Amino acid sequence: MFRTVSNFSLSLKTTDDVVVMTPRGYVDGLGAGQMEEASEAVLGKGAKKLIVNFSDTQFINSVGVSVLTTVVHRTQQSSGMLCFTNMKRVHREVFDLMGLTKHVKVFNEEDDAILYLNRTKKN
Amino acid sequence: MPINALHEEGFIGRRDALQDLHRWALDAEKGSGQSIVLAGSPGIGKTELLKQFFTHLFWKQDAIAPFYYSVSSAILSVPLFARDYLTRFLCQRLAFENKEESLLYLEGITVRELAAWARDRGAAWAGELLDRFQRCADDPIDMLRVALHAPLQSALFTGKPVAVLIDDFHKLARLHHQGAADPSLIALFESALSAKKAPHLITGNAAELQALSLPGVTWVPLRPLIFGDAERLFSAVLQARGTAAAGVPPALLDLLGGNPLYLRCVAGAVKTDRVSGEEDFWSAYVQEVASGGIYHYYAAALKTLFAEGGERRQALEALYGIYESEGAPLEDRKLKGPDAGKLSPALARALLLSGFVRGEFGGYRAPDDRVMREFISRLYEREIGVKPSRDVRQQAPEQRFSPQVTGNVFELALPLMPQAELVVARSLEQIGRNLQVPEDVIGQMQMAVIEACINAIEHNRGGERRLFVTISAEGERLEVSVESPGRDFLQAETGEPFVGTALREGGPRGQGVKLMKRFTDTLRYEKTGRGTRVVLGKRLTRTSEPRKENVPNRE
Repeated sequence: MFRTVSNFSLSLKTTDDVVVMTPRGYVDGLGAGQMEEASEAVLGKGAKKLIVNFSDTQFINSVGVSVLTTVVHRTQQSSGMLCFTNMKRVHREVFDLMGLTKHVKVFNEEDDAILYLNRTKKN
Repeated sequence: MPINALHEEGFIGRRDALQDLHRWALDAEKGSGQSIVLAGSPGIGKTELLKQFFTHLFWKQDAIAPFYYSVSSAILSVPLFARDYLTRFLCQRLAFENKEESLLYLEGITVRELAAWARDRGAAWAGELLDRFQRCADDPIDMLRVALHAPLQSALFTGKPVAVLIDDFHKLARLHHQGAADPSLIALFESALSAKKAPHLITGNAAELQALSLPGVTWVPLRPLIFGDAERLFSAVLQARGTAAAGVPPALLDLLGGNPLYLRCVAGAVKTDRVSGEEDFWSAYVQEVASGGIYHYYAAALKTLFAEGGERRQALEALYGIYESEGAPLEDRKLKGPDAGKLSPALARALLLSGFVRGEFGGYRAPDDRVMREFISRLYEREIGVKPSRDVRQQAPEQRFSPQVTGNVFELALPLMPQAELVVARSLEQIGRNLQVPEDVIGQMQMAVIEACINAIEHNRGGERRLFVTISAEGERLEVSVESPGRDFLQAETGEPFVGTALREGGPRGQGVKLMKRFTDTLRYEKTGRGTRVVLGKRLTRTSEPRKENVPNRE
């Protein structure tokens, strides 16, 4: 029986009070599941400002996007703010089509999102 | 007649169909039977299914009497047909009562002899039917009425319903009376077809049956064998000939499309003394299409439809034109196909009725059956292109049927395992780049293909655990097809195959089709021998903005 090599990895960094998640590779149900767990953890520790930087995301699918909606909902429930940055054009279209971008702030670059979040006080 | 049905073990992949038919027959017992047309492409196994069903009803139960009749082109004068129909029915009906197989074999029995048989068996009802038939010997139309209603009458007399199974029913359009064919005679079947205690199951050429406009009958499709059953059938034929079945190329089975006739012919043509590799199987296929059983099957059909040589040649040229223009946009196909200026209405109608072409929005298109198309090409080369059949056979099969690359067509076969879609997406990227497909088009197509693949994997229903993907970039069109064994995910009512089940609690699914539609210009679903094929198409000439990697709108 073959085993599938993971095509996904996730890195996290914290700059001031902003947590940046950078998913790499293929954001499918499993990959997005890892993102969900990571966001639960940081929100659980009191973080309120999250950025997902998609610059290294090669592919996404509808299952992954549907799991990401739970990340959005959890962030909203925690009164947090969520930004998406560095999305490929086609991925942006997918998020638009599935209604996700109505609930997040979208920026071209991670720095722009950080500037926005630092300007915004949220407790 | 039904007695030459295949042995039960050789009848592969139709157990469900047989059970469905049994359930259909049980409705007659309840007095709510309804006549049906069993429809399917040539060679798909309609006749064999009818024979198997007859055998099943005859030997394995007592509640419903079966009657099998195969319409013969030689018996189409009304009095001859009426006599033949009635006597065969009575023979089979009497045989059923005591499982007298010998009665099934009787040929050319006279009405007087049959009356004696009925008397000996105490079947007064049969004697009465025969008397009635004899009394109207001067009126062939009345004879026909008596014959056609005999199954219902027997059901009313005996209380035992009859399942009437008629093969090649379309030939009845050529019933003739007083020397002239009279298509209106088919109307005499209408009341017989509506009998709830004697429902009819009819088969024949689908296009011709449609032209008969039979009222109140339901059409039931007989689908090709699924891939796994096709493989079993092919192997069974080889094994019966003493050859190990290993090494049958999946691409060949795919080409044969789950058609039992093709599978039997090609497996039967494999040289059993020297099967050394895939090319031996391909050689058998080439031989079959060029001069074997498949060739003769279709050649006979063409000859029946177009008996005169000049007409046949004209039909062949028209067919070849249509087939060659396949793949072009519909408007171009119409131009290249046999437009009204070239083709007489009679010939156009005959072509449509033959099943060699399909009508489509006022034009014509080739059927999906690639073997049929191959036959027409070979016949065209032989008869009009004046290419000797020897040359056809001598072409290296691996050159003609290479599953890897044909022009700009790439084929992949992948195991049905998680993230197989990534292999397809990455292949698409590389192929697209090589063929200078705009990057934004590649990206959008990747999204659509990923969705098609994950749904195919998710909805897999057993059978062969592989995903077959074809990527073609020809002219101004990029097309990707994804084929899998999933048979149930096509929802006929909605046309939306991927009505998703939640992968995770609270996670909305069923967005696959939405994404596929969003990122393609055309999306269609096809039933195939393996299961289901999703075909995603995208025009390459439309205005495609250059890809900008990181340009979402700025807040």
